[in-house]
Amino acid sequence: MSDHTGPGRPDHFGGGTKPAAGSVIWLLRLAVGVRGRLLTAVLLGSLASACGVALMATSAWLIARAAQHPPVLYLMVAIVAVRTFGLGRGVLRYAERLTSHDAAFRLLAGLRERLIAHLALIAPGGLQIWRRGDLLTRVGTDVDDVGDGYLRGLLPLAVSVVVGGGAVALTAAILPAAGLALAMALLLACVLAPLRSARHSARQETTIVDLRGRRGQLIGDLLDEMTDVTAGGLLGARLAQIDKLETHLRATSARSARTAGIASATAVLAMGAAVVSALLFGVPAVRSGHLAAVLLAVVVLTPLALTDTVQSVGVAAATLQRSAAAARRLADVLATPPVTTAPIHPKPLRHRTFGPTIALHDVSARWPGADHDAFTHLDLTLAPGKRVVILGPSGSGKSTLLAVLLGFLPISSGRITVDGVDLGQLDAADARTLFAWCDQQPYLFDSTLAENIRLARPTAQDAQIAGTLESAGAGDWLRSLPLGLATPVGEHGRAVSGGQRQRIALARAFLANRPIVLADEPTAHLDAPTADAITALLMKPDPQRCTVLVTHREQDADLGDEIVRLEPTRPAARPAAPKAVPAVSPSDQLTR
Amino acid sequence: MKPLDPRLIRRAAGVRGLLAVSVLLGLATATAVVAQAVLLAGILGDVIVGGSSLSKVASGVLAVTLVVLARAGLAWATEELARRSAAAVVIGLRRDALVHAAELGPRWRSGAHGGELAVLIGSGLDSLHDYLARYLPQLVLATMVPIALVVYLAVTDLTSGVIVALTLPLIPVFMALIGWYTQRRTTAKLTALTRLAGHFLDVVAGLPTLKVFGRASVQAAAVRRITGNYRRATMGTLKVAFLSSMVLELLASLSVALVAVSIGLRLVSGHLTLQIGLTVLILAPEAYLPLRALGTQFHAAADGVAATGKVLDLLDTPLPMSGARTLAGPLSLQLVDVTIGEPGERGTVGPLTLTVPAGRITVVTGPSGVGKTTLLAVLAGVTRPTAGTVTVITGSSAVDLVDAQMSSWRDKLAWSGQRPVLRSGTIRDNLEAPDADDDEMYRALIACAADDVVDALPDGLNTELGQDGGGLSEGQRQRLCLARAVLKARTAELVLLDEPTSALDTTTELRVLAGLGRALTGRTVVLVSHRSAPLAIADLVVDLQPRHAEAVT
Repeated sequence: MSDHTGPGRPDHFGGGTKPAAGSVIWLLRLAVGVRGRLLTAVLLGSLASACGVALMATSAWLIARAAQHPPVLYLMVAIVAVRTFGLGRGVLRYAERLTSHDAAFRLLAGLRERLIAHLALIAPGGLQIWRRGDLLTRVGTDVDDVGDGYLRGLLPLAVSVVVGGGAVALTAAILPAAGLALAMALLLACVLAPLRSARHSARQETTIVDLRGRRGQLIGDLLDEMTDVTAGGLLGARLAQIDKLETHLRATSARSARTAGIASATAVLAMGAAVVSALLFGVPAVRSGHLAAVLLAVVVLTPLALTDTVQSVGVAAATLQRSAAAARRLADVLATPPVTTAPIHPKPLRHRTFGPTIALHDVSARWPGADHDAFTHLDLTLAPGKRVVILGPSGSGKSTLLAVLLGFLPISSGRITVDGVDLGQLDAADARTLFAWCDQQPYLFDSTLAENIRLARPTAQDAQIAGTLESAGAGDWLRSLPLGLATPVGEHGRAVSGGQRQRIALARAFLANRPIVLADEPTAHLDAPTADAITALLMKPDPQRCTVLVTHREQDADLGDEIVRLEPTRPAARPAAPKAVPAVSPSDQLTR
Repeated sequence: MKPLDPRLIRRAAGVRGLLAVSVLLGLATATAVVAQAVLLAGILGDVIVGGSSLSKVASGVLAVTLVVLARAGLAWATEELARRSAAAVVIGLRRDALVHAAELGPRWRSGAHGGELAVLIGSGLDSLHDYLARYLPQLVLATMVPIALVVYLAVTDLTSGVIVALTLPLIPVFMALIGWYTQRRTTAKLTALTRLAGHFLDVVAGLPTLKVFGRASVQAAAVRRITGNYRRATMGTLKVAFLSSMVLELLASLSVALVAVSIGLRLVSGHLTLQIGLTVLILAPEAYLPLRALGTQFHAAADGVAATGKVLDLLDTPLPMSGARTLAGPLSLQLVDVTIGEPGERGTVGPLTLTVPAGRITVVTGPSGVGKTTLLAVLAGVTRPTAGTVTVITGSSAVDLVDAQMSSWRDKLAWSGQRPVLRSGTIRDNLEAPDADDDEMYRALIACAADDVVDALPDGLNTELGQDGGGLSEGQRQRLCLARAVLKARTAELVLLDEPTSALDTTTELRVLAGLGRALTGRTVVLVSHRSAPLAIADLVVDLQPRHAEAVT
């Protein structure tokens, strides 16, 4: 539970006592764009259900009246009506289903798009709290659950209100007491029972959705790491973790099964009570002449025809409950603010033929949620033609520095300027066009080799891409591939080795042809000769380009014009461990 | 769509119980429905035609009340029992699927697209829950109740019985026809869903890269396009799929209308009593109700069936045979012409021929892509060679790894892979050595230069790590995983280390290597690395070159 209630998670609806109400409002607001389609669906659905009730009521009257042996002509209207109602229900229901599903799909497309757009805004800094497998469950299940909230939640509820109200009005017009009894039965079956079950299942459904999310995360991670887990004998422990969640899930499901069972039984009881009440009020009324005998059949049998409607309410309420929990989680994602704030009036990036000069003055930065800075009090100038080597052990903030330059992280103190303009005053996307990036674990998309490199410059031709692969030292490898540039790299680039992955990333950086290249341990997974060759290529003097190489290879220091050594920072409250690198005062952390 | 996959009944014992309970409840429900109709029609007939008073029909009203109570009880039991057994079945299948996927090995999994597998085993199986809890009991009801009612109607009023008996079978026929037509499309929908999830995940995971290269903003449009395609494809399916429910609704309500009109006309001519007429009117819709309820569950069920089919396919994929031989004592390994992958397949490794001596540290080097990691996976038994043999020699006996019992072989292994793999839980949990005391743990941590990592954490060994060891750097996680392998090596004979120092700086690397050299004395160690530092602790260096392997001492 802890990772879901952590400090990073905004509680969008606050309080938490009635999250469902807030989520239902959220759902309604989300539907504004398709409200015409949804209202049409409600109308069609109501007419379809009304046809079902009317079919039973008219048939009951027809049969009871026929028993009095009237001339057949007296029954003609009822006979035509019965046949019409019989035809109408199926056709209207079909139209309603198509309309409502189309509306829901349109709405979900918008929601998915909003999600990805927002995630693009908050990644990667803000993404730390939304783990990967969790996101997978979110989009796979939560978005679908939200769709269900309309199709199988709000829509049947609206239809039930219309049809139930109509049936009560009809019954009350015939026999007020029976109408009242039916109204009370409907109130119990369609309002009180679902409300009770909603109250009981609110927490259950929220828990179920949460648990499913965490389970999805565990399963996703487990499958990702399966080779290491199997070989390392860790499968038992991982399965035990999933089992623990499943046990919890199962207990919660059992409670919600009980709730659903009780709700279902209550609905049957209530409608049965309506039938019995109709008899208890109707029979004396017939005797006393207040009620025509033929209408007794209508009053008694109409509640039976409402069985469908009542059953749909129970299912709809449960569905809505689940959707509300899903909606709340999605709202949370959409409400997660980016870790960096965009300037209100961004200054334009000056276009110049020569690369920019970026100056860092006394800069410190930390990851969101961290209790200490990853690096502190850094001074550095990046200028065209300069080659900077950043050395330091793991955890000394080398990668953090690159994240700051890329605008993924805000600085906690100090100042960064681009040609004298504050980096924070530039549009982040604009400022990023200054940088090419070669990640420690470069990400490859489930696409072809060419597309993975082309994303650095969408207009690049295949020949150009092959050329950059050549300069990244992957020419021989490329030629050995039967499919060449069209080779699929597999999911997460699984089909290529670590070394090839790095070369692809290098090719990407070369192709982007940007004034500053940020390389984050690009040779970590390469054999020594290749690593040396790649590093030499990357650090080849170029008066136009500034290169920043993050590395832990001491020998790389020889290639830089400027060497920055970072030391691990430690939270002030915690003394350094005996075997750690001796703690140093902040001002000593940076030595040149 | 096959309503019920026989393999499911074979795989999951819970499904059999669920079916048995559903049949019993279905019988009871059918009986209660008939009783209620007969009783109500009797009362109405007495009052409308006979002019009876309330006191005369009081016993009938009481009986109706009792039947209503019985129906409420049945409704509750159906709902609760079905859901409970469904949950148990799904949990069992999920666990089986995970274990099976683990044993099938990395080559099978990379062929089966990990992200799709995650969706299938996660939310895919959840849709089986709806299928089992709602669709299956309803399927039983839809089979039993209509048959029982048609028999009763035919006995009571032949004409109505015939109308219902003629229209009822049309419903399954139409549904089967339309279902047969939509089956391919439903499978396509699951494929679309997994592709949608896979694409979304790919975009999210690669967002930093996309942002740097200014491509993040176009992703929303890409997701919209893919979702749009998904909507069009699904709406196409639904237009046809909903036809089946329209036919169902149409037949159900039209035949009720026909029955009502026919009864009305025969009542006028005096060929029927009101009581029988009303009984038939009440029962006729009840005959269609279970089928209609089944229709509304159809789509959730179709998803469940499509996903279940895939999971059952997974479970039916034969596992590599595990032998029965158990091994004891220090071991050496002999690889002869070991090849992984079919000729012409990308990423083929081998043939490799090499010897790993007992109780020594063998360092395997070679250019990237030559198959160093695959070699370790073969030694661990997670990847089976397509050709060649791996022989394990303990003392005087030599056993082909294929004949070794896999579970006992894994007990003999200590493993640290290229990627540091940690789970949520404490550091102590992650060291996976419940029998070790703190001293032993610290000895292992010191050997891997991970003691300062632990000391710097707020609760030391008891610090909770987030998923994936969040908060620790790659190098710190790597050292913790090494410590786990060192602890395992207390009882293991073979230690497999894949690039154990790849995320470490030179100083730490040297400390770790020195520590490992001491801690793993006497164990058979295979260490794969492209770095030069590990050579210092090597007793033997094997330089793998593409297409051949040669040993250099």
